[in-house]
Amino acid sequence: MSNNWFGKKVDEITVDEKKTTEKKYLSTDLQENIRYIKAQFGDAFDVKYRKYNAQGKEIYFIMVDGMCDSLLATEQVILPIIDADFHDEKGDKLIYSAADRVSASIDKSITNDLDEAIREAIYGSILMLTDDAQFTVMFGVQGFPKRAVLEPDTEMQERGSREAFVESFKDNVTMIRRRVRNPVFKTQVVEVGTTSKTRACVCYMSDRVDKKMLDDVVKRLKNSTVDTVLGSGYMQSFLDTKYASIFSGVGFTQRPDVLTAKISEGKICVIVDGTPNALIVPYLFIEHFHSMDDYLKRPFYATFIRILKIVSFLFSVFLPGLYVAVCTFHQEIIPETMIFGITGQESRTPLPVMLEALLIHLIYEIVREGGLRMPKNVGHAISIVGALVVGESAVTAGILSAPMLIVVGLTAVSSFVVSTLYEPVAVLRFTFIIVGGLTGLYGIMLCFAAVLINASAINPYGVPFTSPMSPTKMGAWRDMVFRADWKKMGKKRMEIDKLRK
Amino acid sequence: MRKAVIVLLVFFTAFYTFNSEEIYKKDIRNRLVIQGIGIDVEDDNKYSVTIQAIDTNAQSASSSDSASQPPLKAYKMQGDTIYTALKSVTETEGKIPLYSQNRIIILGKSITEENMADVIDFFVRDVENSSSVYIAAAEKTAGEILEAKNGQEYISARSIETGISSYEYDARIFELQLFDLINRYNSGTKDFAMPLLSLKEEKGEKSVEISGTALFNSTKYREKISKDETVFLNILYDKLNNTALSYDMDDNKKVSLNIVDSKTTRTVKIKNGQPVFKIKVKMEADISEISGGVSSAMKDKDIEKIALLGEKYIEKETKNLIYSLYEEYNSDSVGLGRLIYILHKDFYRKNEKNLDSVLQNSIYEVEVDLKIRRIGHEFIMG
Amino acid sequence: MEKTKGKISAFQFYVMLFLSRTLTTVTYLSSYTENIRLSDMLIQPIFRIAIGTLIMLPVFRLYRKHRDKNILELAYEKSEKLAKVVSIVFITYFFYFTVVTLARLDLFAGTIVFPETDVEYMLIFAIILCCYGAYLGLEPLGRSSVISAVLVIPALIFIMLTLVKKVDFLNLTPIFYNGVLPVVKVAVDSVGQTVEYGIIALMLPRVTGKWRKGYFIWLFAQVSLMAIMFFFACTVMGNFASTQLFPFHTMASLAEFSMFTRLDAIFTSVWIMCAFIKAGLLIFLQTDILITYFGRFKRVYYIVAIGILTIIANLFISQQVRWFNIADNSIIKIFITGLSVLIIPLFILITGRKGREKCEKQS
Repeated sequence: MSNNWFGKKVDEITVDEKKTTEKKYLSTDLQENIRYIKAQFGDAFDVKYRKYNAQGKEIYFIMVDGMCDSLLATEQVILPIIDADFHDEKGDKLIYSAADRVSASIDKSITNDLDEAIREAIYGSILMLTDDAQFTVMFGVQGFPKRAVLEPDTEMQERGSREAFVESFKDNVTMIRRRVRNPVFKTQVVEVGTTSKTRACVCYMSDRVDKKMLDDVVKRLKNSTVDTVLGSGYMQSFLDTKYASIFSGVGFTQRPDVLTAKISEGKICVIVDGTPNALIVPYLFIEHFHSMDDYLKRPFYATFIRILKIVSFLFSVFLPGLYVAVCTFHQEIIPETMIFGITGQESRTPLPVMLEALLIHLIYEIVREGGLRMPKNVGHAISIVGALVVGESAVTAGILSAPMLIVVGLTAVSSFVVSTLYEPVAVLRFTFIIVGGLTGLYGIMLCFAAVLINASAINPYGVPFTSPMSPTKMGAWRDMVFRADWKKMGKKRMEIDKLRK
Repeated sequence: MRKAVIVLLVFFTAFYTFNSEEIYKKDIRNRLVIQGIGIDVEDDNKYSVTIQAIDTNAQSASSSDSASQPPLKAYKMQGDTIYTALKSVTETEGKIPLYSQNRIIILGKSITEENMADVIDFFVRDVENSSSVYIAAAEKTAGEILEAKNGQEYISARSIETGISSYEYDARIFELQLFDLINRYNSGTKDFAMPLLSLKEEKGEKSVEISGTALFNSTKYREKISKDETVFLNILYDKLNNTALSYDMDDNKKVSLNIVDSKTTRTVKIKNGQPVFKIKVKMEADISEISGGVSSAMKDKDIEKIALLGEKYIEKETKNLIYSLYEEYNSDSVGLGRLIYILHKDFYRKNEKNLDSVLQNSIYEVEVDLKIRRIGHEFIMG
Repeated sequence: MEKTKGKISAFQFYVMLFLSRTLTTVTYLSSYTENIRLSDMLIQPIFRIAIGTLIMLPVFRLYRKHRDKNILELAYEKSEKLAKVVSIVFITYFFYFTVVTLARLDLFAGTIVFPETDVEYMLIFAIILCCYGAYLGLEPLGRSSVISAVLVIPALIFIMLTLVKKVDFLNLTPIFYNGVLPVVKVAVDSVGQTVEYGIIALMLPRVTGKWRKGYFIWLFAQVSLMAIMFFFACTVMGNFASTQLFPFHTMASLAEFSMFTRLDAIFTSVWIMCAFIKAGLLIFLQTDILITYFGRFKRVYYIVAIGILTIIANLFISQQVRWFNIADNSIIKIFITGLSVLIIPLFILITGRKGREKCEKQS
């Protein structure tokens, strides 16, 4: 018996053993094993049980139809085995012989744990069982339907690669592997979801990751208490900081190049099977304004774009609230050339400025959400209706004012410039509108101070969320708002560990 | 229990938020945007306040919101104090007045000739009032200025303010802002100057003109100086940025200069118990016009001559103005008395009470250095 | 006694103190300097530097000897009772300045920003948020101070740059017109208003990095800011400044940039950011002392208690100029600052030396 086979696969992906209270081991009675497996799967139509006779020996193959490539299973596994000459080998010897000599499949492993075998079958392996054997060999013949690698739909880049993650985490890891052809890139697979047993792959670079942080991430994933994990977002709250904050210390990306860049800084990424969004920890506030294109374009333009993004973010959060505050409490700020227009327009509308702002922003959110969920062919109608109803007609009817429409238009466009911050921005915007309408600039600034200190309190994995601005790390400023040239940046690599307090 | 408390809190917060008076009361829709305030005193000692405000009813009825001339309306109110008079506009219009967009405060003759101190307090005390609002005096009443119409449209306070703020390009206009007025009011002499407005009617068309500068002595109107004299007032004040200046040359020609830069330095020394003021004026100018036909090519010495004549002219006029200010009108509008206060505090302390006579008996030396920069399309011969 | 924990870098600490002192500067009330002329305020900072550094000498001396202990810990070494008395003094000191800071903010809001509105609920809102800031702790306060400083300092510089063309040197006043003594008195009063000295006295052991360099940079920066602001107030507004309740706010309302006039909105923002940091820090310090020397309950309960007391005290003073003047009295400030920053450290220093001399004699 080869010790290499116990609980380990030949390829690099390792499976941490889940602590189970009771393990169900294979018995030498084939029928008992079959009965157990059938009891676990019940009447599932997609689980196939096939008995073959190979030179008088009874061999069972069990697979989940949709998860396996039938042709691969037949040609690479079943046919060679049933055609093979096992001489007088039987039981465990037959199993090992089939694994070692007969099948050329690389993805194979042997186990005596029936539950593990069932899990592997669900993952797309074909199980081979025979009488008198306390082990089973699992051949990986995955062939479930999956999406082709397409362009990302949320993180569009001008110059960057056009690849985005897909639902299969193996393919995702392959995409990263292509970019980091170095064994320092490591992965660790963790099962999350007590029922769904979804695989989450923890990716990192071993020569720069903080071991404590890595252990912490793995521990949090293992201790997560979700029954069924259907997306990476489920894991976000487990990986996030303990402080209740509107901002999150966990980022996400659909792009393999971005993820590679993050892990090369010593961060950890988690790819959850079944979802194309990978999680990044720790994720700092300033990183929301960074994109892959910044590093592919010249520094002066990259800096300009980053500043533009920061300004857009500020517009999207503060502009409506400030407009409401100015119209309600601080009319003296309005320039004399604009006072006539604003007064005239606002005096036609029935609602106070604050309620008007809340209404229009609510309508905007409805239209946006509708546009997101609608089928593409109906989406055009939504945008036309939205523009006509909310735009032209509302102003003509005197329900809304033109300046307010300009404000909401600018806000809407600005909020998409930094799409990763859309969630906090949307909530903050409404908050600032209400606060601005009730307490003016006074309240807006107080609220801003509260949000700022709330963001300053977040320390994802010991790294301050507001760094490198505060605490100030001048060395990291070369890639904060301003982006230094690659000749300078390339001299010393950026590591998240250096920002740790 | 906790959840119920939170739900109730959210409900009451939302209820309060949307039912709050604050969002209705101070909303811009409920504010009367005042553009100009004029103050007069009636025979019965009541204040007559005229305000010019944006007529939002007419504005909302019209289809366009042109920024050039919004519909305006003038309101005339009376009250025992300026504040009560202004506040009473709420009864007429149903809106709370918004003073922060006020462009100009015009004080009628009845105010300027009696005592301005009475009217200043409201504008200082009220927090909405802009401290940089322009102040002007009216030759007759402030009401007639703000109520003046050309056809159906009022002569806007904004256009009057634009006229006064053109002092940056035309030093024939003197400007005074509220904070500067209070500053001077609280200084030793309480003397100041402000632009004088008058209503002119020509061929049925009315216009508001800045007819000169009103000089004040101890907050009372003293005398008016012409627009030409105002140029030299601005020189003494070191407020001249850009203006046109004309004077006679020999051989019946007149030269016009475009003064592009001017700097006046004022110092004072006490000699034998008498202040000696040294006023040095440094100017740069371009020759804009020499009347009397198209000139032939100019020589260097011609330019020097023009400059010399210019210096003499400015010196003479400045000295004349100083004489008028201190000898005739007894108005230290240019603040030379303050120089004594800053630089010779002991002398000032001794003569604080009779500063007027000290300034009357002071010696004023004016030195002008005029440099001709450009002469336009003309050839210079060596 | 529980050991204090949580360090802060010198940079963050002094930026926090700079913002805290900036608040005192920008909320300067013209009644503070009624006995001197405005130009004297340009000279007064020199006296303030000297007096301030002088009164801090005992604190620095103590710190040089005991790098890891603050005044309260040193008092605790002598006796627990002394520590409790000293901690009560400091709690009172910080509580008093919290109330005064927020009372000034309330006076500003009630007089300038919302003259026709009840501002009590805004005051309560502000105190709740300051308590939240204190609850989050020292590090978030420090970090948010640095970011706030990035907004506050350029805002102030911007306002002053826009006022350059309005500067008129004729508005200056002669120096020491009423003599030197009134200027020195104002300097002493100004030192009394500087609660930051007390914060330094308490927090120095928790500061990592170059504390001495930071102290002098902080001192120079806040004194320069004060001098520059007074320069602009004096030369732009002249005597008009003395008619205004908050002259610097009025000064900002005169600032213009392109088509935008009345930049006092920027000033208001600066004000509020600084008030938040200052009040948050003071509430945090009070909580910290309470937990360390009287700790029996969770931190959040102390913060809530201090918040409630602050609300009660401020509501009592709110919109009542007479009570505000009583509370904002310079004699109280000078006394309490002198007691906390000078007398107590001096006492600890002297008794410490006498104790050592006694030990040496006995041995």
